[in-house]
Amino acid sequence: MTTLTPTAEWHELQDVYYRKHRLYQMQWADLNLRNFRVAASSFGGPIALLRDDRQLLEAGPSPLLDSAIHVFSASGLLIGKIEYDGLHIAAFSWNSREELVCVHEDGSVRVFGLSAPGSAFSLGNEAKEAGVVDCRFWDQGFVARTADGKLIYVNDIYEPKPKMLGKHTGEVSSWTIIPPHLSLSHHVEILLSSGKTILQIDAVGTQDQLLDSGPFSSISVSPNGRLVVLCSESGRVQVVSTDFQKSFSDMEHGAAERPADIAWCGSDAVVISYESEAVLLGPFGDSLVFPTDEPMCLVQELDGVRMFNSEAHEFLFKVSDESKAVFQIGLQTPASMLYDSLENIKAHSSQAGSTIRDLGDDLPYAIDTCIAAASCEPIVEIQQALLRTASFGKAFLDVYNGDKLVDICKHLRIVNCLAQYENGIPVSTMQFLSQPFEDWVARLLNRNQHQLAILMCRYMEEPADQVYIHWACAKIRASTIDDDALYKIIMSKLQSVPGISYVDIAEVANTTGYQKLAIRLLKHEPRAGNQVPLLISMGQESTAMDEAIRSGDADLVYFVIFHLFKAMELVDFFKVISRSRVAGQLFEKYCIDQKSPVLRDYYYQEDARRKSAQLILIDNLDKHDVGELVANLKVALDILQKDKTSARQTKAMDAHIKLLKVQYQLEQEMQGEKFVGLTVNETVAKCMARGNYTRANKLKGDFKVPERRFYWIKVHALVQRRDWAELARLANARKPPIGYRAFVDECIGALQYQEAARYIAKCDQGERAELFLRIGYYHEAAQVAVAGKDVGLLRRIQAQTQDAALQHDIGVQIEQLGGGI
Amino acid sequence: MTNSARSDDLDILQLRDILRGELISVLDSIRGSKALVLDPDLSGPLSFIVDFSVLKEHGVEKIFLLDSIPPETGAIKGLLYFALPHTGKMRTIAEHVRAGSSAKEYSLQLVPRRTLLCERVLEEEGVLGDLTVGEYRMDFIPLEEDLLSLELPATFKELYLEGDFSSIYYAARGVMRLQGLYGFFPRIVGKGDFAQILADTLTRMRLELTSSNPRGSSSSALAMSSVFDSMVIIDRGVDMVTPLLTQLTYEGLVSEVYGINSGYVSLSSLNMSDANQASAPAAGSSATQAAAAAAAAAAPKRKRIALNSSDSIFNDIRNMNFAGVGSLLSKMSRQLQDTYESRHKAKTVQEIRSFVGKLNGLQAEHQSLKTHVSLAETILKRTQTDDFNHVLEIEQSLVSNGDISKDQLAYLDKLFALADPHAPVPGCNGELKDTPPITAPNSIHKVLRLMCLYSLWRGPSFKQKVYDAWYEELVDAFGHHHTITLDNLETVGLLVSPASNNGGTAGSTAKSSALKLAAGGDVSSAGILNSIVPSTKPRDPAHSNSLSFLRKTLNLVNSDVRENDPDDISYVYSGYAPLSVRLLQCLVRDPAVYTSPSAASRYSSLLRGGASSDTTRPAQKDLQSGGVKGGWKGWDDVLAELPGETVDVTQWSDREGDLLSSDTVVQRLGEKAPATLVLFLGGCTFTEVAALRLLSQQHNHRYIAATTQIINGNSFIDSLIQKASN
Repeated sequence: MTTLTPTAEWHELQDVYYRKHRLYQMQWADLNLRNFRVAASSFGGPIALLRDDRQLLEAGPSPLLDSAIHVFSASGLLIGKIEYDGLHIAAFSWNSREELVCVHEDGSVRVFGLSAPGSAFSLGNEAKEAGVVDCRFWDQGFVARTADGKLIYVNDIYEPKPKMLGKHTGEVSSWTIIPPHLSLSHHVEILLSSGKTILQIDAVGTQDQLLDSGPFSSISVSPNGRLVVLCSESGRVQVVSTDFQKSFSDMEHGAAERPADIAWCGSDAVVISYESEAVLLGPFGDSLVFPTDEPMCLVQELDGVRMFNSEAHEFLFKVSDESKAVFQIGLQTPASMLYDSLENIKAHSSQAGSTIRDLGDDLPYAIDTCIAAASCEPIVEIQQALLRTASFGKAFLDVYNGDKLVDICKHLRIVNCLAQYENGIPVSTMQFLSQPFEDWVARLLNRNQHQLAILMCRYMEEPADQVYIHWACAKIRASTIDDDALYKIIMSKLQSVPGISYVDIAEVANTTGYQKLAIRLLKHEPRAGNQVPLLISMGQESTAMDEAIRSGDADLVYFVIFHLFKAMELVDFFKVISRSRVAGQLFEKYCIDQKSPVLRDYYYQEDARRKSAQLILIDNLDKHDVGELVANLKVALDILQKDKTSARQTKAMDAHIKLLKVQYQLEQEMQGEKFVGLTVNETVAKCMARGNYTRANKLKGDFKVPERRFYWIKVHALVQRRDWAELARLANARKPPIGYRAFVDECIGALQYQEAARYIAKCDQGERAELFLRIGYYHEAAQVAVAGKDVGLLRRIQAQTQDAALQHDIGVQIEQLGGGI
Repeated sequence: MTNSARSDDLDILQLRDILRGELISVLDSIRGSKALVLDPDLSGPLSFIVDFSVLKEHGVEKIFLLDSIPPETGAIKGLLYFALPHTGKMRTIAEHVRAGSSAKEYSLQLVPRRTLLCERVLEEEGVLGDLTVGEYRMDFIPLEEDLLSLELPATFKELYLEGDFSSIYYAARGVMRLQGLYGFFPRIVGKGDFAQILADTLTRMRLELTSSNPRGSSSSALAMSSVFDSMVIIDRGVDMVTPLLTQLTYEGLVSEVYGINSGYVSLSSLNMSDANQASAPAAGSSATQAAAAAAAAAAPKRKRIALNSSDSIFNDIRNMNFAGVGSLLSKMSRQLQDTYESRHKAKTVQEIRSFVGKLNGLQAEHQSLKTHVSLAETILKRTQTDDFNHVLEIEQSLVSNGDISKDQLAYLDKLFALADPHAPVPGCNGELKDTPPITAPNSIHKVLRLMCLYSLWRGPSFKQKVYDAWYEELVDAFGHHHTITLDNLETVGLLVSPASNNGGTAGSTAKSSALKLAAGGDVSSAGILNSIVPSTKPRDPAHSNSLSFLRKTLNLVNSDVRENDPDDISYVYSGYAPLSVRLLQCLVRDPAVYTSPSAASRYSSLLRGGASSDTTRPAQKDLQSGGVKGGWKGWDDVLAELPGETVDVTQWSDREGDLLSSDTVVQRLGEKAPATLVLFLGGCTFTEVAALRLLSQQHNHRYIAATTQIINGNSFIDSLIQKASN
């Protein structure tokens, strides 16, 4: 029986072990990587190769000499081919969705998906004129450098807003970025090697880090953003903190050779790939050297570095403590004892039982260690051995929660499956768990691996909606059969998935010419709102309007309205809008808010006369030129007169026009006075306030001011004017319709108590005493009270007055009235 | 009056932390120092979420209020706008961007939602490319632990006048957020057309959520709520009477006299001459205060006072009927005095130390007391005027008799004749320049409130002659443009022209067009918005005057109201119980709606089991358990007299995803959920909140009010008034 040990792949670097594990023998036979520009995606993603037109061609047949970008799996299988239009690509890289971002020299950017059509945008004129030389990428953004030294960045390629970050015109020997999620400012920053120093550039400005060991041929920032590795052109390699204050490692690499590639292995070690060797530089300046036949391409992963060249693909990573505990030679740990005991049992050795007994309380810990070691073990046989050990140990325990073991088995099965040659996605369990499960599904879909994706979803008990949608879309795109047949095929699969969204599928059907299919599919969509834009693009306007309204989202209704407005003749548009009350009202509101002249035509066409007139009225609210105002309002009046239901409004408009004319006249008569814009009541009051009572009387007649109102206005105005004679005349002319109380209240309001007293005497018997009391006329109040024989009131007056004589008199009166105590 | 029933897993205030976190990440998305430009409608709500010091920590150097004049930001590069998605505001911002220098970086956060409409306006204005547009999802703001508000302006007008139902969508998103935190409401009941539309929207959003997340049944976020038994939606169109009345609680009156904006009252320093310090700790560091200070250089003496439960004195008096506030305040003053005096008794060092320890709290209390004494004095003067009492008498008379006396009718003539078309109205068309006048000005708000009340209560007895006369009076008094105001009021049904009442214009045309639509289109698939015309008139009433029927049946007027020791919600209006809250009482089987003679028999039939033969008043324990139990069952006659659809939706589903019937839900709700959400669509008043608080106490159950905004009669009517200039 052979015992597998992984230690053969271990390499010691001070007290730490690194393991270089061979993943694949590359499938791409006879490919000279030197002829290509390479972009490899992390998380075991695809590798894109582009003919490097700066390299001279070797003579001889080569299958990959056309101008397409060829995409390979990590195991070297050709999985895709991206045709591009021959523009020179300045830089290209995979983003976190495994889409290839290509930045062309002229500043245009294209994003390619492996299975879905991509998108494109431009970096703007400045990039176009100068030309893009190079780019640095992060998850969803990148920085581009132009030939004239401008730095332009895009934060999110899915909502591209290219912005200028800064400019550096001098010679640049190398540069890199600190992506936003790693920088202190949470915005992208740039490190640029210029002369002997490094410049740190961000949106705010440029900072010189004042170094003297440059120029540097390579700069790279660690995955946690704390450290930077600098390779100087003289062959010196330094690791310093990102603020350039502390130095950690410093190594002199013999030759002044420019590194082919550089990548961080974890956050404390760096792998540098040279022409004939790859160097692992540890945190304390010591290093491991791996000789190679040709330079390695490096792919930084979460827990290590993948290195590949034309021939092989390897994974270099730090050996975990758990693996060390099990496998390190000469180390006796509970885990290694447990592992050995299983071997002993297989060998029918009596030692096994005693080993387990010796472990005692350490057994659970040993089991956990074996499980953890299995999770970071790339070799399937060893994984199995470790898991078997754990399972064996478990049997000796009364209580052990096996969930962890079950989970690890699940994850390892998936990871192992992904890593198989034909799938070619070599990921570690740690990498697998660091990403949401949906992302892995998306990666498989990207490669059209629907079967595998479905199996994975079922195995993990996760919803497989996305898989079905993607499958249906792919089916439609690749299909040549008719709508009906396609519908049947799609529904046969999708019917069994409740609540699945049909919008994306319908959209694909629509764009690929399957209109009828699109409409049929859309009917199954549970989200009303999502259908609307698609229905519109399919020319199904009236259904779109209904769906928008049904969604309860006014904004969607606006979406449809605007579309119709653009697409239709105005007259037809009005007809469609007016058919739906909801749409009509929203359109009206938009027009009113925007002060749009279109509304007038709409009302006209709809025979909405009162609204037409109101619109004119509102439009003229800020106008003060009487001539223009009257002319405009007459138009409104004409419209109103045609509407039988607007009798009151017609009358009011008529009166208003008349009022404006009168007010204009008044302004002519009384120079310097403003009348236009006042209300009827204000106009009357103003005439009175100026003492022009005749004019006020005439207005009363002209505008049919009711008697009572006229009295109120007049009394108020006269009191304000302190025209007591006129007030008296008004009071005496006849019994005022608003009563004398109004006179009293107005006088009291103006604090004119003497005048008030005059009218109190005319008020109802019952009110007088209280009113006198209110203005402090105690004598008069007392008289009224006596006349009314109101003892209670007399007592209140007695209590309130300060006048001793009056108090005495009241006392006498109370006694006489028989109210004494 | 604080809530006695409190559940630990229902911490409404956590919403504020969520909103704050989201706001901060918006701020951090802009590099370096920045200036904020706030929509005036948002400054109040935003100051509730974050204070100025936090803004400063995240790089905000200056705050401006959005105005036609672009702000002077000097060297600050980043400008961050926060605005409601209104087209007018987009145009203003577009002007700023066009006028500004290209070196500035503009970004705009639309609150609560980034809309296509706004993007289109920005595009038309040609600035969409120069502006980063995002969305800050500020929906329900927890003003108190029992009060949530969307703080939207003028929703009632948008819904019933303009047909713009955006606010329903915002409310739905807000409710979805609540459901995300507390689980789905097992049941949604309500009344009103827009209540129905909201319920529909919620149902659809739930289906969309579960279909995009099929594992929903097992995930906790999509579980049924264990804290909420249900949500009650009250459409403002169902009860337009309540907000028109003068609120008589302390908080309500402060709102009527001074205006309360997002929990703050703004006072002139004149008014606050000796209570100036009081506001310092309370209003201390709000964002808007800084904004207001920056913007209102013209009126630097104004002071913003926070009115919330952290002020213990305010908390004690806010929900009281004003009649009792004076005596309580003076009692508090005496107590405070006594506590101060206790320092003389402090002999030992410990005693002195303990006194000094209390001192800070005492001083804060002292300042707060001064503030409220001064506020209460002004209000007291107002309530003692003839004018105030005339108005109140008219209201009371309409509410209890449905009519007013000749003298009272004549009083309206005086209001018309001595109208003040330019009077500032607190909280609406202008800030008060200084102390509110002792007599409320004869604003159009005041007149229209009375006119509308009259029209609503008179019903079909509203005489054509009176209406015609008023029409002319109003136009002559306040200006011709109010012909539009009056049309608006008729459209929403606040003012019912007698002509249209007898089968004339407005009401019937609405009905016929609804029929036309129903006949023409496929109603069932087009959704409720297409099939009904939302209306504030009952569709098929059995009584000619619905309100007078409801007054009797729901016991709306309580003649022996105990203002100072309330046992019934009618105390908030000194006799009138808000219809909206009475409807809630129907749902929860509160005895207060069963005390009228006509209701007694109804009650006995509703009670299950052996009690049915007993027609005397029910045992309190059966009723006052709180929570929505039987729903609308047994209230058909009441519902017929109210406008709009009747909502009753169950969201409770079993494991297979099938919805359960409402009866099953009721049974399952046997294990009592401690809270009910009461959502007012179109705004609610402080009196309604106070009434809910009383019910919370009586039922030992938490009623949490949620609203599109807090309103009073003036702000309610203000949105419908045509302004004199554009």
